[in-house]
Amino acid sequence: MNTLLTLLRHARREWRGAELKPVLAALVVAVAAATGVLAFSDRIERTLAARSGELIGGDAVLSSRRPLPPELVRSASDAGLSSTSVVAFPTVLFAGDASVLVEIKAVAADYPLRGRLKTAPDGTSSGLPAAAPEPGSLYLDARALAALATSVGSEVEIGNARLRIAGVLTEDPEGAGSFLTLAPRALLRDVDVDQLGLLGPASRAFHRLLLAGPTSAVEAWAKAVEPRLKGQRLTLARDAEQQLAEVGRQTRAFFGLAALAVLWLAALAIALTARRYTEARREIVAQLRCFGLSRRRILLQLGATLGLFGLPAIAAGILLGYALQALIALGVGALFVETLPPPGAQAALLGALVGVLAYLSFTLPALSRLAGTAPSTLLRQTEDRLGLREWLAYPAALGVLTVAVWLLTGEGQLGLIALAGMSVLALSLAGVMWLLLRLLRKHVPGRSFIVRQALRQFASRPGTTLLSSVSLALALAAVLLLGAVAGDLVRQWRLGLGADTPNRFLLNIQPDQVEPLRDELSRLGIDAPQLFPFAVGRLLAINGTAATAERFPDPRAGRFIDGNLNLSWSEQLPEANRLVAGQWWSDGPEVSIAENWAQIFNLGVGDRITISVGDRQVEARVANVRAVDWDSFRVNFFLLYRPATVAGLESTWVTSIRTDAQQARQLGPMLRAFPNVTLIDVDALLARILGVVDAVIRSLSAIFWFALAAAACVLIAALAVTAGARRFESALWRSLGASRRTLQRTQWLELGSIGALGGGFGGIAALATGWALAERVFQIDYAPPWWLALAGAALGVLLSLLAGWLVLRRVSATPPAITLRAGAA
Amino acid sequence: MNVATKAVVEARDISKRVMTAAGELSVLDAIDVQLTAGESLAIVGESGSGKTTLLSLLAGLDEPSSGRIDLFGEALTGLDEDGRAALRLGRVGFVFQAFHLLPSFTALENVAAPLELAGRSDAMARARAALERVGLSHRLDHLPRQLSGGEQQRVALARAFAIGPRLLFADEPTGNLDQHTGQRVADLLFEINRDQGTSLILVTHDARLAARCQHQIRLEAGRCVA
Repeated sequence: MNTLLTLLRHARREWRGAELKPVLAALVVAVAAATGVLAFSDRIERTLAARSGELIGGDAVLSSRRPLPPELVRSASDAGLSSTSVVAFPTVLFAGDASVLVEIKAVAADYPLRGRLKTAPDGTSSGLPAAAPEPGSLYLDARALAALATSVGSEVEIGNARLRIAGVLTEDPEGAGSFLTLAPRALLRDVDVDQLGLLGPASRAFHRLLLAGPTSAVEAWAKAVEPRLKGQRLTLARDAEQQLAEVGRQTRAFFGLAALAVLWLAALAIALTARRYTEARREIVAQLRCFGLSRRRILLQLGATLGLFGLPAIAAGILLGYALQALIALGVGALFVETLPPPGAQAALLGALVGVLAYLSFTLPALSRLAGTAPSTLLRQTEDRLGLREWLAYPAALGVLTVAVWLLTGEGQLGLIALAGMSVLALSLAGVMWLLLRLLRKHVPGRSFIVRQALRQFASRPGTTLLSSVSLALALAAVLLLGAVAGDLVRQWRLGLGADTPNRFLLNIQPDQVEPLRDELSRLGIDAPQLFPFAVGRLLAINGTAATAERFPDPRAGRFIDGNLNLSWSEQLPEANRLVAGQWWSDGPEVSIAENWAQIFNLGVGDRITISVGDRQVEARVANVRAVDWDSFRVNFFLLYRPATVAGLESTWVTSIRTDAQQARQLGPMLRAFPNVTLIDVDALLARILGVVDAVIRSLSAIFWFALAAAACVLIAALAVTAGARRFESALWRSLGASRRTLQRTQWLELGSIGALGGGFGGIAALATGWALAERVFQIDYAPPWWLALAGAALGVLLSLLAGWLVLRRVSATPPAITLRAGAA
Repeated sequence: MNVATKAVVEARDISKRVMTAAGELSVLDAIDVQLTAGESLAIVGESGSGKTTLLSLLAGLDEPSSGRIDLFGEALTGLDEDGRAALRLGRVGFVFQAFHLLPSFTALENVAAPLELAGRSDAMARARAALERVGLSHRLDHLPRQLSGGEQQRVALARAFAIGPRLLFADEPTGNLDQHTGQRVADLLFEINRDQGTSLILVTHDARLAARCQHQIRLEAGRCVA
């Protein structure tokens, strides 16, 4: 009881002191970042887990760009499996003047085989289980309904028919895996498809056969049928689960990295503040040791005090973390088809674990050193410099923390790259700052006392200046990169597409529609667009050897080998294409390949490529290699054949056109005469992609605001370390006749300089990253928003002054006589 | 010109009382001090007798509980902290027992500090000359921690005199130095004091140092006994 009372009394004294609070603030930030990200990832993963059994609407699914061969369908029923067919294709729905591009899914009455459909009478409720729609009706998801400005019970025009909206589609087992659904969705009955006249031969549609049955029967059938597949893909529920788990893993890693950045800064703040805390107690501990208290006992007492405050701080961090995850979910939640489940308790435990780890590993080196203070310190004032053991302890602690976060977020390599990137940025900034400080030490510019003095102060505390400005720079770089540069980059990329860049694609044009469509387009003032035939094939062999993903180191190769290959043919070299090797057509079966495709498969002129299109095999010599401007938004192909090589191949036609607002409005009604033609609105697609980018940016920004809070903790900690010396210096200056106002202005100017430099560097780092992205990724002439460096500086100044106000506002308040008598603290 | 107007510092009936847990404690009681230009005064007494408190009050670093202090003919009492600082600016120098140099400033920057504060454009040149005067022209770019105790106190002397003060306050200027070094610092202090015609008020335990001043005040438990 006595011990407890002593401890509580001791704790009350500690709380009154100024040294402990910054340690706890940094801890709260660290725990909040970790908990927030872990709780959010947990919600995503639980959503995935809940749906994993019914991901693909069956136990297996066979999919293809072409109708499935009847013998494959028969083999499934022979194996005792139940099956149902699904055809998916994009098309435009009309309701009055409104139109929307949707992904249509035509299903049979027994759809789905696994999981369940849910529909609601309006877009606001989560819906009730429902059967497949009746013939003559369809389900629309809330987005399609909103785009058409219509409601359940109304009719929509689709192809040649009108269908009644029977409900709002809220849950579709087949859609659970597609997280980023770009197009709104509609579900209708298979029997209506023929009546609609939407699908012609070689139309762009996905045919799927969902299968269900006992696991052993499904596995046995899959094993038997796999060697017979030609261009069809077989997916088992367990593969889909793995893919989904991968989505979960990537989400966790992505946000985990952001949390890691916050943790590193917060850990730095904890280490700094803990050191200040222990420095302030050095004399007391020396006295206690003089009185005979053992090192172990002192360490226990210090540990108990820190524990007493640390636990509530961790609890506060957890609460804040749950608020953070709600913010993240609000940002990216809209991207997910499913409603996320409420956050679980596991993240709180893991967040607490990270907190305890960060707290212990970054306070223990300083505490252990404090507990070992020699009693002789009382007789001989020595500077408390960190020993080698302590210096090594901090990187080790950082390593432990990083590994812990890696384990929690399941990402190693990305974390390492991020750590390296951050270190390079931090070191380069520190290098530049160090040079600047050296320069300032040698030559202080300006005539005004305040300016000279502020700059001198700034240069004379390199530790504080470097730590504060580099932390600010790192955090602000992240915030500004996401908050301003990323969005600006995407907008400029979009603007840079140019006035004549096509903004609509027309797909699924049947051969007999090519000329009538061209005429109609001319009538609208859209002149002679280049139309390309379009077929889907499969890569079989290169130079006579079967093409397998293992043969090529480039991971993209697998996508082309396992998936479908879009191809076309043309007598002329298309626009936005340029020959980089070989000659345009000469003689014999020939193919032209895109430069990046040539790199993936290590191909050159003279190599031979074999593909299959339907039942036909085509072998051709690579006649040339083309550089393709993929950003041109024109129809481009990796493989372009000499027409004679692929003569007689069944195809549809595609084209890209540029429309102004008026033409775009007329295009919809015009296309009613071509119901099978799919119109893709690139503008709307881009808007949707930008929406997704914005949502991700918003969520990451929420985490990086915590990084800013962590940087503020570092700043406060670094300033707090100097508070004693500043108090003494202030007293000295006042004894020499300086007014309090002069000293305050000097201090604000010094802090402002730290903030301006850190923030300015952060802004420049964000701009440089943006510029690098523009050069390497977007390949656009980027006009960086230079004002961002100023905005960064302004934010830095604001933060720095705020931290200064919190920590140093009383520095000049103590009467100089008292401070000078006490000597330098 | 009467005596009062010539006085650099004049204190009448000043007292200082502080509140402690045990009640009010009188630190100084009814002290009178008067010093004219160029004169020197030693404040002596046992530890805790109130010497440093008196020095702080005379310099305007602290406020008396009662009584009146005039500095350079202007009332110090009644002025706020900034007003008192303005009165000192460019006219008062300090030498402290613990040197109290700015640890992150070089010797030259330390000496130039009050000159820059007073807005002197020749701050650096004067600081250099002052350091030369105390024999430290080879230590201009050294930080205080790179200097010996004696050297630090000489930098402090240079800082105090560089501004050309009319009044110098010295609190145990040799207290932290060995006898030999202390002697050299004291010689320098009186030498510059004489050359510049500065008035000097110093607090000391050292009877020999006190004896070099023209006037002495002995304090016992906050009261003037001689």
